[in-house]
Amino acid sequence: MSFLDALLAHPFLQLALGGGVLASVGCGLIGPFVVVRRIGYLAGGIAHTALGGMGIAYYLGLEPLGGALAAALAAALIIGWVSLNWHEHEDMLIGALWAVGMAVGILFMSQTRGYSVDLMSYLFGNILLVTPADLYLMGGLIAVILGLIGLFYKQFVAVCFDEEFARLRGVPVTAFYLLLLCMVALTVVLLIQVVGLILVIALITLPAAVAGHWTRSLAGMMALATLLALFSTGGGLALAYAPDLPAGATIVLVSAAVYLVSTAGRRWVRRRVIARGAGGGSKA
Amino acid sequence: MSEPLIELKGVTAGYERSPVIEDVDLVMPRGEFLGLVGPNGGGKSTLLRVVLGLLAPWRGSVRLLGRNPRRSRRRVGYVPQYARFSRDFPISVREVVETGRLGRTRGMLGYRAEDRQAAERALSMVELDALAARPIGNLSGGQFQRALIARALACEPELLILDEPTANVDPRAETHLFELLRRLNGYMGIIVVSHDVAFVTRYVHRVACLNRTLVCHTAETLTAEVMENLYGHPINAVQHASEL
Repeated sequence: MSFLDALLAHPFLQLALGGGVLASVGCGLIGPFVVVRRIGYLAGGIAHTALGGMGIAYYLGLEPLGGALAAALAAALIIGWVSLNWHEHEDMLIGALWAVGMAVGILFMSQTRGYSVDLMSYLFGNILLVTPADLYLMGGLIAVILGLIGLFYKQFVAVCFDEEFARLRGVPVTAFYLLLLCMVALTVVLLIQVVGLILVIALITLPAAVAGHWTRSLAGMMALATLLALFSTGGGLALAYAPDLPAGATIVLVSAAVYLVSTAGRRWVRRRVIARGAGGGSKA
Repeated sequence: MSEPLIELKGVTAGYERSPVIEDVDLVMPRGEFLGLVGPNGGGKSTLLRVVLGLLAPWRGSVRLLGRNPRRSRRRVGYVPQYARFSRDFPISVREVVETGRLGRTRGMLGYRAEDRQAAERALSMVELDALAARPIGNLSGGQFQRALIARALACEPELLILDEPTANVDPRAETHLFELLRRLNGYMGIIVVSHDVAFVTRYVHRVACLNRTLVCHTAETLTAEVMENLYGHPINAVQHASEL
């Protein structure tokens, strides 16, 4: 049975694809900011700290994604504050928070029965277990992110492009920077079910970095990154289905392959442009 | 609207424990074209940061356009010495110039038609209209400098401050730049920070020499002796000062 036939036959695959689509939109919207502002490491810290919240929520019998949301938002604010005020120790402190978050998560999960299976799916995702409730949550998070970007696109661009100039123009730079990190936190939570929090960073940064190769504006980068993320999640899911591979892993590997192809392609295009420029010059 | 553009009284400021500028007094009237010169580490950038309200003075009072700098700096155009952003940022020249409208435009949603018009006017003032759609990273040094000036002009400032605008441009672009500033001076006060004293004195009304403390000279009275006192050794500005 091919992937497409299976998709029509099985509701769980449709839910999985729906989750993949929403996750892709999230990556496409936030990834470009993470790439141009070069905060991939901060985003990684936020993602891994989320496990602490999941573990605690799980232990208390609450919804783990809710715990992840709370922990990721708290981590975004703490990491943002550290990077603004203790810049010289940023590396060390984010690394520490990263590990402490995971340690807390693992500790609480170990005290809860049946933890091993769930831990793996939090770390590496299990897109085939997406439920309708997950889709509603993801849709809500996307709506929040989309709304904030729609309202404050020009401020986000200015803050990412030239922070000091934005401050001189009266933009509350600190608030927008923290807001941006909180949106990264929302995206992380969006992606946990799909690729898991270890692999989140790849899906946030790779499609956006590829889009950066070929676009000239942040908005264009968002649109292309969304399409590329759709391709990666769809392609990864299709590849994983027949041989029963972990979908999170295939999704990340597809997006990495796209990145390599794009990097090589861009070098090739540039060389051709330079060669053509030299040829045109000699004729003139 | 006759209050001075800048009014500094007894300003001392610095970082950590040692003051970088000390007991600086300066009154800059409207319409003035002021050159700010001095050796590296003499406090030029520190003075600008104080004037723009980015650094609080330890002592003394700072008025910018008659008010606290944090409130009035939106009406000031600032051209930084170093571009703090990466040149491969995916943004067009026009979009960069439009960011100069922040603080004058609405808080939410996109720029308005009047913002776009102001950005276009700024672009044509610096003769970059034809390159407006280019990515910012594709400009030459001189063009890039003019793009930053257009960004500062987009807010229709009453005062334009340029920090070492000629550091990365060739001499021809430098002349071009100062001719542009001379034209702009018809509409606004201008401060140019420069280490090229010879060049600056050709264009400005007054030269403020900063080496921890500030001394002002009209361009004509800037003598060899003054320059030597400022820099601690003879410099080639001397020739030029005597030409004037």
